[in-house]
Amino acid sequence: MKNDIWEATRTSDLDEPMPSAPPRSPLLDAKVMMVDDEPLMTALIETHLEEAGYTNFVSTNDPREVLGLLRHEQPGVLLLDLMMPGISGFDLLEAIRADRNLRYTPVIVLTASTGADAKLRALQLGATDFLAKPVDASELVLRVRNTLAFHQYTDRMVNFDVVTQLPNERPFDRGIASLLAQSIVEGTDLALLSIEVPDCRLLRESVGQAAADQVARAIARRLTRFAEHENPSAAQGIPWERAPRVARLAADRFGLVLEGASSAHAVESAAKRLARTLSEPVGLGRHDTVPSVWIGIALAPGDGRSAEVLRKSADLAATHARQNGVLPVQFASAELNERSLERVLLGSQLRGAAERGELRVHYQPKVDLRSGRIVGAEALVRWQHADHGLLAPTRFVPLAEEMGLITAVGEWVAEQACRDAADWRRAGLGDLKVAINVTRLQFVTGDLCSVLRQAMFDAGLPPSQLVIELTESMLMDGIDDVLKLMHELKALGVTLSVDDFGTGYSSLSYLKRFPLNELKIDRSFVKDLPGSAADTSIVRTVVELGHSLGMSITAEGVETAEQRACLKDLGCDLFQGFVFSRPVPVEQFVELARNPPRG
Amino acid sequence: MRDLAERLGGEPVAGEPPTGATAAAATPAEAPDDDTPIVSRLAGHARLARIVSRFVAELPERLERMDAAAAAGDMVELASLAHWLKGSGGSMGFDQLYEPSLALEQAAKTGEAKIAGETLAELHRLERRIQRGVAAPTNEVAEAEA
Repeated sequence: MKNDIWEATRTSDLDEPMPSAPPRSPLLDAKVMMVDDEPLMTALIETHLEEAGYTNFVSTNDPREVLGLLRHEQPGVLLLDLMMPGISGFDLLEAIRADRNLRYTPVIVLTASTGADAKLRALQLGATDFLAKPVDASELVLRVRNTLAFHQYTDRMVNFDVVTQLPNERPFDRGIASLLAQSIVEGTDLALLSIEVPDCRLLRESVGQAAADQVARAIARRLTRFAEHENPSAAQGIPWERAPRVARLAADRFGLVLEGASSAHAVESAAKRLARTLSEPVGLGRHDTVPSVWIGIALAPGDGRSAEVLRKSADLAATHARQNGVLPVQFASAELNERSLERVLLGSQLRGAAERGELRVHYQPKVDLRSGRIVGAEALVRWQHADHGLLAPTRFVPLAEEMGLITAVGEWVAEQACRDAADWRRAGLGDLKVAINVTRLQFVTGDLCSVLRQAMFDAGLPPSQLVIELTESMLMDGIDDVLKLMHELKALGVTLSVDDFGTGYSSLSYLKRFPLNELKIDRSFVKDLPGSAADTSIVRTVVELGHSLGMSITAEGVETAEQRACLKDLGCDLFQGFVFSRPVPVEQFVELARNPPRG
Repeated sequence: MRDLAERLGGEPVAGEPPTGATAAAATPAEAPDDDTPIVSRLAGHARLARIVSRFVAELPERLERMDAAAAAGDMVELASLAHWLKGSGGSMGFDQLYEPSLALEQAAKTGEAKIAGETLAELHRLERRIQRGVAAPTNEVAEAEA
């Protein structure tokens, strides 16, 4: 506990101004409740305490109100007059100490009695302290301060872990209850992580308490930093004092609450990051220790609608993780564990998939709306999995991003697409353009330009045949860097295209600044054509906008002949979609390009 | 603040007999002919002074109730009223009220009507001086009257 709570208040007869104001004591925010049948007395005491800096008061002159008011206000200290008509202070004190919820309220008894009897009796009934009447201001302020400080000290002892200073399970569980209530009202998700760190217990038995404490403190620091970083929304929600998001639940167990996670998968990857962070070495003087960390995840409301059930689920999952000893992160839900396990397996298989020749590129034709001729294709990656068959990118691209494999996968696709397009040219299919998708990671961190230059060079593909598709959100992400990179790409001679146009938040003024050649209208604007007047207007506007900026317009997801005709009428240049062809293996694409279907 | 209160005509804190701090109060406070105004120790503090003046305004009615209880021989009521004055008088900055209130409470409890009557009379005298202190709370007036 810090010492500052003893440096709480100045007394009211200290009138000279302080040279520099000391930091305000948290004790001054405590709620002080006063009970005296004499209204002048409560007014007087309140004024004295206000002089000393207290601001939060509740008072009553009717002893019958006291118990109800106490339950409602939960004051930090109660100043109780003993001699009152009707109910005496003794009776009230006795009732307070007998009430399960009020029993620990600090009570300072006010008495004008000179004899020892009244004081003894009040002490016997559990008075915390005395204040003699007539009331002396300095004595009043000091007794209130000391009582509050001691109460705060015991409160800390009861609610906080002495070693790490983290809250313990009492405030943590109470906090989960409020967070749960809020998340149910707002319909958001809440994840509870139970984190087992056996070293905090084992080190005590092998090396000593000091080493175990040092590890616990390191874990607490890392956990707190992580929680603040991962829970930015917590700043707006229920304050940490009322709902701590981090706690030490037992010698070898910590707790963490994550709010507003977008999916179970997002929680899982956060938990994995946390496990890595927590198991970094901790220096213990002569040697370091690498803590092993096991995390159990319970998700509300699926794994429990009460703090108790949720805690139990998460604790159990962490224990399972430790007992299995393989995966550091486990869900409480069996189904989520299965999916998580599948992802882990898939992830390990994805490593080396390119080398084993399991990755494929499929091509979806891009067709000229006026001539009906194929002018190019979008290259789309597939994974030919030994057990699961052909997997779409949604099944493994997020995994590849998480595992840091996406750059390698992207490079492989670029090389393969360049080789195929060069083959088409050599086969006499003309200068069909091939479009490849670039992920944010490749765009921001990878050496995209040199990879593409090398791929085109190795394949013998002229840059005019390569199209790079970026997403709208990538453009808006650090405008200046993006602009620089786009000009570098442009200098290679490739064509630049924006995918999913209309779904992001691009500003038209930025659009003007980017050296773009093509806008691809997102499928969501196409699917209700030609019936939807709104979508018709949007497509017409995008076409006009793009054309006026010198760009060509491609519509995605065209599934019916009506949509195709409508897009043609609206002046759209190219389209791709099932109405013409799904993405197909390269041999089939070549066949389509040679003998395009009529219509 | 205590200093200020004294200069405004207040008297030292309880414990020693209230002999009077002003030059005018040469005779003991118990003397029936002492009519020096008494001003509360807290009178120098604006917000406390407002509470004190409410107390002073209520004082005559409380003393009347004491008189009535004494006249009716209701010693329980008299003790209770004296107990109240013992606690609140000093709290309001009138330390002179403490000893007579204590004496009155004890006399009422032991049923000593004569002593009760004497202390009650003393309280009435103090009350009058307190009222005079409200009417003429400044040092200048106190000196002028001396």
